[in-house]
Amino acid sequence: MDADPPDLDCFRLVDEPYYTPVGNEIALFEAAYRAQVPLMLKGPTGCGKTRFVEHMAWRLQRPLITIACHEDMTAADLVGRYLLDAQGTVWRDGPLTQAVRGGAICYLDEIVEARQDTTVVIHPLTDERRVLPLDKRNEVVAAPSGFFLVISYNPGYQSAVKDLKESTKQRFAAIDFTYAAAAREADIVAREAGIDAGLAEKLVRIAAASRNLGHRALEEGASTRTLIRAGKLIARGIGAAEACDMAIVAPLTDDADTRGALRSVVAACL
Amino acid sequence: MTAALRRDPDPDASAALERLLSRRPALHAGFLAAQAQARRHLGAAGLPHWAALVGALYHANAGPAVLEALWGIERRILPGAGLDTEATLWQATRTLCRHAGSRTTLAILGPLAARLSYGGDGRELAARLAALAGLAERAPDALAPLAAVLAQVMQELPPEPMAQWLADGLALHATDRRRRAAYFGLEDPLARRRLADLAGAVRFAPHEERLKLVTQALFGLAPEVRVIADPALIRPRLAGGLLLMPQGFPDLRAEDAAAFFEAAVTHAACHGAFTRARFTVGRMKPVQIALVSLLEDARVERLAARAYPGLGRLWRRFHTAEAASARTVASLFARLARALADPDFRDEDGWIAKARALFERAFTEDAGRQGFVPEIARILGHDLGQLRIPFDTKAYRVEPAYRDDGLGLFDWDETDPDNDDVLELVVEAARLRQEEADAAPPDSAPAPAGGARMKGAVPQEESTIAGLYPEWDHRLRTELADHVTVRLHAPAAVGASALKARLDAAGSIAARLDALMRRARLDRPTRLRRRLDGEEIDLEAAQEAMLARRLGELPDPRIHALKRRQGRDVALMLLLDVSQSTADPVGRDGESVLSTAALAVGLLGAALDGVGDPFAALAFASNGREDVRITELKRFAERWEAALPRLAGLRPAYSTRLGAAIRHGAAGLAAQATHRRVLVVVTDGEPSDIDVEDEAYLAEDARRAVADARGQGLDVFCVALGAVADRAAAAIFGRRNSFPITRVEELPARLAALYFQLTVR
Ligand SMILES: Nc1ncnc2c1ncn2[C@@H]1O[C@H](COP(=O)(O)OP(=O)(O)O)[C@@H](O)[C@H]1O
Ligand SMILES: [Mg+2]
Repeated sequence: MDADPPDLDCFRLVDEPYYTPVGNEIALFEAAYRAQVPLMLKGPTGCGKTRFVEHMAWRLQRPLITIACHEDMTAADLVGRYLLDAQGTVWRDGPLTQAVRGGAICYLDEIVEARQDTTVVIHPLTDERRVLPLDKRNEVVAAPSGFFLVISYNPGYQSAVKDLKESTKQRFAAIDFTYAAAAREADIVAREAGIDAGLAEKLVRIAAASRNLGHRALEEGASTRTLIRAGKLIARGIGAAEACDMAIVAPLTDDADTRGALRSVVAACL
Repeated sequence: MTAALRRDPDPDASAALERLLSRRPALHAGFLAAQAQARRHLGAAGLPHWAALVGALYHANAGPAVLEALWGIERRILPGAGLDTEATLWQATRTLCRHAGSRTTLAILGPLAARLSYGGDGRELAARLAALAGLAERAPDALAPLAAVLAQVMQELPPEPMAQWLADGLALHATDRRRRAAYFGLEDPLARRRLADLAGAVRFAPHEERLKLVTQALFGLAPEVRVIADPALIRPRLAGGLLLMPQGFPDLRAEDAAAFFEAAVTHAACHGAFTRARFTVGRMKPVQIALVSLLEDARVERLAARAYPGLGRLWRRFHTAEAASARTVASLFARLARALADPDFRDEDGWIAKARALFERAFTEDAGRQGFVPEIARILGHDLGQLRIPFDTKAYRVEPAYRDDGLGLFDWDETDPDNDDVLELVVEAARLRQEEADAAPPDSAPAPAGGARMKGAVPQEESTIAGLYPEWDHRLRTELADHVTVRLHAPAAVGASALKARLDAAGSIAARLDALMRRARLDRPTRLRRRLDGEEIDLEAAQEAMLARRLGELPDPRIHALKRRQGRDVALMLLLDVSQSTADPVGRDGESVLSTAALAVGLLGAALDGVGDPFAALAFASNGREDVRITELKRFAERWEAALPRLAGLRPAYSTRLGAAIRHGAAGLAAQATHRRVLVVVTDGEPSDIDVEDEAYLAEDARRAVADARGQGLDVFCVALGAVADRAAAAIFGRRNSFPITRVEELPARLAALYFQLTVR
């Protein structure tokens, strides 16, 4: 019943994804990859985890399959399911199975969003067995050496209902991510949004101030991603204050006082 | 009322009037002086207009005293007043005289004139006078009582809010002269409350939460702000970690308040971030102390503006001093403050230029070196002495007004014992430290004791303030902010055995509830069929699809199935009215309304405990707006057992301020994360309270509170016990959302059933 390894060329990254390292995460990732230790990237949203994985896939010349986890995701969504066609039913591999067969890097983004009965399907891939059982098909797929499992995990969002099982967490080695230091973050924003360095610095200052409100008025401060969005809007001719309101302030909070405070912060920084 | 000038007044009007008044010796001299003055300031072109205005008032039989009073006012305002102000002054006075009589008009003009200073432009007075004339046209009887308190009203309200306050009085008491007199004489508590509300349009409180976040974000620190009602506190003051904020700023307009307070709080935060050590007083003179404070203000603001240029813009808004040649401390210091804050500001004064140069050089060299501040202050202070420009500690005010008064920047213990000049400042600084000490334990500090509160409203038992809530005044169509104080009163500790026995005795009811509960629980997983997506194939659907294909038809692609647990997702907040009327007996066995309701809540609580819905219950009553009394029967996080003794301990007392209770309950419920949030009020009457006369007031407020709660996504219902409650509830909650229970004995059997009816699909 073994299928040929699928052709995952369309999942290969041709151009180098731009990534500025914050510490020695590149070396750590490479080592984990070589040692076949599955990896957890911990850190707030929008701080560059996804970009980092893309960069590493390019560097290691592996195809990359990214799966954005969500609450309604089922094990079948990961592993695969039977579909019907003219002849009857056919099996269709899910993205995880594809990645295993093809020896790709599989990145499960925001894994806590998935329900726990879904995430257990990755367990056999994360220990010495390195296999993926497909119960419905009565098949066990062994992972080739190129296969590598990476998950991202945002510790800021922990809640009673949504957290990783301890048994899941401990199957991974972890790299802590934070936002890049101000100067570097400004470089990233300037480059990604196509705006000048002075403006990028101001945006980064807004973010830094908003991060002072993390765990109080806000769950998390403004991420690098929101800064880039604001920058892109400004580059398209939107007024700076308006762009910040749209891309930074409004998405962060609905509370009137907090919004007012963030608007003042934006006004102070611009 | 608008003042209009006649387009072409008689060019000889002035001369004609002069002839006329020459026959009135009492007026003639005064007229000639006023005429000369008018000619000087209004010019030959303005004079006929002026004469026409005076003549009109004269012919309205205003009487000499009124004319004299206006001429007196002109003496103060004419250098600055234009013809339009003049027109308003004379025409409004004429209206006043016509409707309210000369004597009352004089009584009104007196306090108005007393507020004038020389050299003003009279606009403020004209605006007030116009508003008063408008009132005189519609309610002339209101002017006499008003005249007696006008000084106080003007003290608290700028012209525009004053006009609003006058209009409110008219709107409230359009017909009842007696009540109108009470309002305008400030005897009606509502009039005082309205005055306070309008005066409080520029209060700090609405900005506090936001500004805490602003400084936390920008500087990583949030100075704790205390609003202090002490007439001696004119500027904000730093006191240790506190920022003391004056209760009012007389010149602050409501539309500037947000920016002003932001400027004040961020300025204070700058000191927190950049003033590393307090300055030593030693032998400094008061003028040097003021200069140190001014220069340090500039230094910390400039440091902050490096990272936050927008703050620089914010602060500059309040620098309004213009370049001038005046060499008074007030003028020079305000201009220097501006010069250091605003590089584009031009001022030719030599002292300012020197100060600027010294500051810029030192700041460029090492902005972080706080020590350069007293060095420059010494030089500049010395120069002022050479220029013989006196410094008056008492009269000096830091400008702009958002800045702290600087006293908090100094170490007063290090004052040289021979330095008598700063004695006053030392005393004032010691006073503020007392304030600081009084305020030291911010959590444990009890509410200030004694006279500040309304008499009779101070609750005797232990209570903690749970929140301030607004109230809706339907006549004013305004929300009165922070109008109601909700206090948590500890439940009486009572054994629950009697209540438990009654609950057990209500076995038949409980059995029926069990059946309802089982239906409500819905805890079996259900299979959702015919899905586009799913964990498994829906075999039936798949079969049909294959069939369809074979037949060449278009198959339905929804062939998957899902298993899901569809749990209930409802939270309940129950508000139980425990006002005095619930002491009334019910039915034959003589149980009170309250104890019947307690039994009903007990049954409901047990049922909810079985279903697992998050559930909280509050008992409410009120004793005036200062004391809306909430007793927590059960909090969401608590076990149901905890509630029984409290439920048993409830005693009927006080009144029913329903809106406040709803607001408080809604606030607690809104925090629940369930899909549906249900607020149920159980009440036996209509809203009422000891400090409210207007029958519709509390009902309208409750209606508003219900609408607000619905706006937050809450479902609000009322269980109304008896006919009176039913009528009131229908108006407040809407017919469809109130459930009348005419026979209160039935409540225990009905309440829980009703809840499930509301929450099961
Ligand atoms: N170190 C970095 N180097 C380059 N770009 C970065 C870096 N960190 C963040 N970014 C930018 O921020 C954006 C959001 O990052 P992303 O990787 O999507 O965040 P995350 O996966 O952590 O939520 C990226 O699209 C990229 O433009
Ligand atoms: Mg200051």
